[in-house]
Amino acid sequence: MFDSLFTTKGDQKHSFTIYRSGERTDLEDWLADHGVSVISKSLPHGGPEPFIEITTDGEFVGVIGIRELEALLEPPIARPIDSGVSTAYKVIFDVLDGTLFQSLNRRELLAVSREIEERAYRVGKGTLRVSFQHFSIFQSRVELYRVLATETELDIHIYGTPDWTPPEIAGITYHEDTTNSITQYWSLAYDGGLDQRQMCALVARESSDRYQGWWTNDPDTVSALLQTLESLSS
Amino acid sequence: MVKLLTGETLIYYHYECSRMIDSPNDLDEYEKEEASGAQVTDGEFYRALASEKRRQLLQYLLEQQESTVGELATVLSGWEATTTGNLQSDSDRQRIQTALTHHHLPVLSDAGLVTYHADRETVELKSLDSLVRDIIRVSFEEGQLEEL
Repeated sequence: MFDSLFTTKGDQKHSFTIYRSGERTDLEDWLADHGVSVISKSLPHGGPEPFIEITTDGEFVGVIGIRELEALLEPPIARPIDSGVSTAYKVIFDVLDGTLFQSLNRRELLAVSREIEERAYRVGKGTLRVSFQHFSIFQSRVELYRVLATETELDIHIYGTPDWTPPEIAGITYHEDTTNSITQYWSLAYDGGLDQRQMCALVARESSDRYQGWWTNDPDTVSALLQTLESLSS
Repeated sequence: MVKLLTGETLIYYHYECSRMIDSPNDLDEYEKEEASGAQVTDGEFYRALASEKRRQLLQYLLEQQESTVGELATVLSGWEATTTGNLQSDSDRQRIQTALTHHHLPVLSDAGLVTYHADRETVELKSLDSLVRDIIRVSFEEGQLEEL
């Protein structure tokens, strides 16, 4: 269903250079394990702490400390909603926007999903469309979504194969996918309410228990995802 | 010039550097004094060490020996990012690069510490006396302590 979006992604959008004086960092291993190529440059001792430089088509995008990106390695999926610790994760989301990752696990997907859910929660209005593949995966998220639906004006749509019966919650509409068109995809798309700058989405495709995926703030891509999901509603 | 430093002047420089780092507000006054005359080279050396960015540049060049303006701007941005915990964007780096080419690199060049090729955008550390290298290291470390 989202295959065309994966195809058009083509080559990796960003390039990453890690500057460090000591040994290879966990982040380099993590990125390498997820199919993201990284080069490293040496820093002298007594220089700055390790940091990563991001460029797009040779143009400088930004630098951030490795420590700040390490949240990727220990995703804070258990944190309470709007706990105020999401700043680092927002940066990760922005910095890695559009980067295609290989071999993501569910825990990592949940962490990125959490950033999108939090953003929707903070804005408090608009439409959030979510596919956790199967309703049974949504089961562990029900209480979080109850908070999302009852404390905001969000219009929430949950897609999935109906292998579990979710509870009725005002503000949440369930869409049973009986044709298995979405079984393979973990996807969240938020329209930002009235604010285009808050638009964001995640798409991941499962194969043999691991996922290939990416996330983005790009309004056009988010719109395309929202439309694809919405077309499943009817 | 800077090669003529003796043990005694090392202590003196050390004292001067600490004073400058302690009281960055005195800098303007100091630069006026310096511009007025004697000991121009010494003054330029103190001045070179009086800014955190320049101490970072020198610390980096002591190890790397040479670099490009672009790389120096990236490293200083990384330094800022890791110190503050904040992402440094393209505009932050641009600001640093402008400060490098318009201010910091000419100051280091005037002090006889680096050779700055503005046309090629490259920077090389000059061959420095070990005492001078020590003073640079001490001033850098003291600057770091100030931040703690």
